[in-house]
Amino acid sequence: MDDRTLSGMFPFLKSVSYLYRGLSLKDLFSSTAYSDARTFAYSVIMKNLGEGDVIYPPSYEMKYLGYHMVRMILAYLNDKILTGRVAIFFRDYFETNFISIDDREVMKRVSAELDVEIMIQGNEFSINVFDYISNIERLGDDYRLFYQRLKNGYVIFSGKGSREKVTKILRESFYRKFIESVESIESIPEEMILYYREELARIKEARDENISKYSTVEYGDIDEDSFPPCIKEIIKRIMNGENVSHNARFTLVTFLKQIGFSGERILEIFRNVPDFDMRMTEYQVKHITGEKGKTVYSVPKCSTIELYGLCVRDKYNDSLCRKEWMTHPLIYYRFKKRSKGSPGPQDSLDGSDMAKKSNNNHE
Amino acid sequence: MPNSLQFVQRKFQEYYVKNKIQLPPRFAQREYGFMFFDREGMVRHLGFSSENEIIDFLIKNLPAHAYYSSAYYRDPKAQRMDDKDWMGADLIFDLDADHMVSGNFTYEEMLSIVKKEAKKLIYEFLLEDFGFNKKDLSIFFSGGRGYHIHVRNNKIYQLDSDERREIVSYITASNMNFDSFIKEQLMKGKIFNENEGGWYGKFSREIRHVAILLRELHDSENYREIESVLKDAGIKNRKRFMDLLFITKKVFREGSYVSEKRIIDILADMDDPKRINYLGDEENIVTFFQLIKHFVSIDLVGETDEPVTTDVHRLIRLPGSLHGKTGFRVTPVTLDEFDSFEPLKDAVVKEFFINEIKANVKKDFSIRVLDQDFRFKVGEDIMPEGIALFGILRGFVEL
Ligand code: SF4
Repeated sequence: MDDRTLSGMFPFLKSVSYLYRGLSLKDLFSSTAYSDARTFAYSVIMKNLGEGDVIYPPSYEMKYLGYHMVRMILAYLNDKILTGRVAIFFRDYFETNFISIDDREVMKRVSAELDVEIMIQGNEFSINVFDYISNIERLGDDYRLFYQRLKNGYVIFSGKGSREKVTKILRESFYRKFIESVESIESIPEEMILYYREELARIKEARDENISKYSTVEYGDIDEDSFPPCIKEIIKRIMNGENVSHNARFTLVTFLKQIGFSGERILEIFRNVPDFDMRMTEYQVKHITGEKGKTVYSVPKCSTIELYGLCVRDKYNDSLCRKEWMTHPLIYYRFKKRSKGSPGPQDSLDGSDMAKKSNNNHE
Repeated sequence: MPNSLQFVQRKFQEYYVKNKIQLPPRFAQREYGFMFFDREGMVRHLGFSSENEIIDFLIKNLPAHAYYSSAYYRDPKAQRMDDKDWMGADLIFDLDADHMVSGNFTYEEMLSIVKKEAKKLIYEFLLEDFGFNKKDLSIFFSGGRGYHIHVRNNKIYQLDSDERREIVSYITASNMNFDSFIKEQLMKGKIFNENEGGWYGKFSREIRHVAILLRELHDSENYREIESVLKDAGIKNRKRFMDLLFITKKVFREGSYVSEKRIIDILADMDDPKRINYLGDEENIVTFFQLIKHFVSIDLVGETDEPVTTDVHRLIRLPGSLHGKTGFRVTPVTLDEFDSFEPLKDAVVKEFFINEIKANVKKDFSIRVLDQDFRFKVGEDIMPEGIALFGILRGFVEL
């Protein structure tokens, strides 16, 4: 199997990137020579936003290039959920390809680039135990270490189904590495923003249309500090007793609903409205949130909020709102909430706690 | 009490002035923490950049307990864990009598139980299964009731907490379903190959051990022991089961008659993975497996304190320092010495046994140190300083 073929099957391989050295990003994003790659990349993104199907290019080169374009687009969009979905898409692409190869040396080479040390003898695969345990977190109970044939630092798979199991381990590693490879792109290539402008705009459009659909459950606990300025502003006005416009109510209710507020809690906020009519407001809230009527309304995107005259980006001079990729209040919320970070396990190890533990455990 | 405290601190000072501390590799990247005799809580987030600095600190402050982090940090002195910038951590196993031994044992007995467990952990699991090299392991007697094993190897520094937990679960077989092993063997009608990796081979090797044990007990007519062993394993109908094991069966090889053997001999001696079927129906086989399962959980399951291994910020006792509840030294032991290592000799600070001191015994106590039995009853008595130190630290003695 030559490197050109490999580059299409396993485009993450660093050892094949020499084939594409010297290629200009301008050409990549504009020349007709690469339109197959661009179509592939575009269709992968759109597919994962819920629109259309993936259009695979016929040549390995275009697959390779398309894959790397996808990474750049994802880095530009900076959307963890979408990146995760695409990671799963390529993870499956990887799995299909890996299962199809028979060449031992290729298998070893691919595994090594995924940081999984593998030895192959006949039908027996041995995986370094520490590489193994780094990749089973998302796999089922069957993959727990105590159910494996562990010997001398290697987990041994032999017999029926072992190839598939090994592939599962590798594909987990691929998944993590894909996400890392997107997150590690620090500067977005100018050429992409310049020559790929229209497609990027369409992608953003599709993302904003679909974001409510594809990210309902991922918000976790509600964190009011992370609300975008426009939402905070609307709440503030209501709290001050101002009778806000229907559009403002609509924006607020759809937003709150989306991040997990109950109908009850939303109503609480509206109690401050001067002409508060419980029944009327209740009806409106239920209608907007889809509890009454068939339509579930999604949260308007920034451009719509701007249209309503509710965007307060300039008033608050908010740096996040000024980001090129800030196109939706839900993106704002998600980003802010995540970058604040939730208290990790290590925070539980403050001085007093530690002293207690040490007392107990180091008699 | 002030007298006692002064005495303890004087002894600790003598020790730190005269003795070297074994600094952990990359000691400047570690966090240090200390507890003191006259203050509550722990002083931590300290860092040292030279050996002398640490020794100076110990001599000046005379801590009761000295710890360093299993983790390496870019900035070990940072006050918040998040700011320390974690670079990796040694893999630590802590075997402590507190978590292992229940019932009435002397200090010596406890230590020998823990040592046996430590050997199992090292040989069966760390070297054999996980394939570590001897040189990756450092073993320490904790100065208290157990041993610490530190693993340093390029593959482990970056492991996160969950990954370390997976290692512990493997060793302790916690949440592992032994019945699935039994089921698999029943379905295939044969037992696992003894050379198979992981718990499969262990399970299979135990079959032979148990058969040999039962045969020995039986042939030496130790029926009481057999009865109690089977009872502990929860085997009902014990008489019937034992009778079954000693029935003779015709053994065939490749279709031809070979010999007559007792089932127990077949299980103990033959190498045929299908030999289990000589037990007859499935019910008998299941009963036998139940017995094996019982033995596996006693003999083979490893012990180690999970939170210590999974905590990638753990503070662990500084080798060469003194343990503030015994006055014994946190002592490095090489693997080759491990067998002959005797904590109550080799971790004892000999200088503390040159002079004697008059002390007030508040509670009867006895201990065997340096091959000598010490036994004290309430009241005034004369004893080696090292014994007084131990007694004070344990609350049995006052000056
Ligand atoms: S840019 Fe978007 S999120 Fe920010 S205030 Fe305007 S509408 Fe809200």
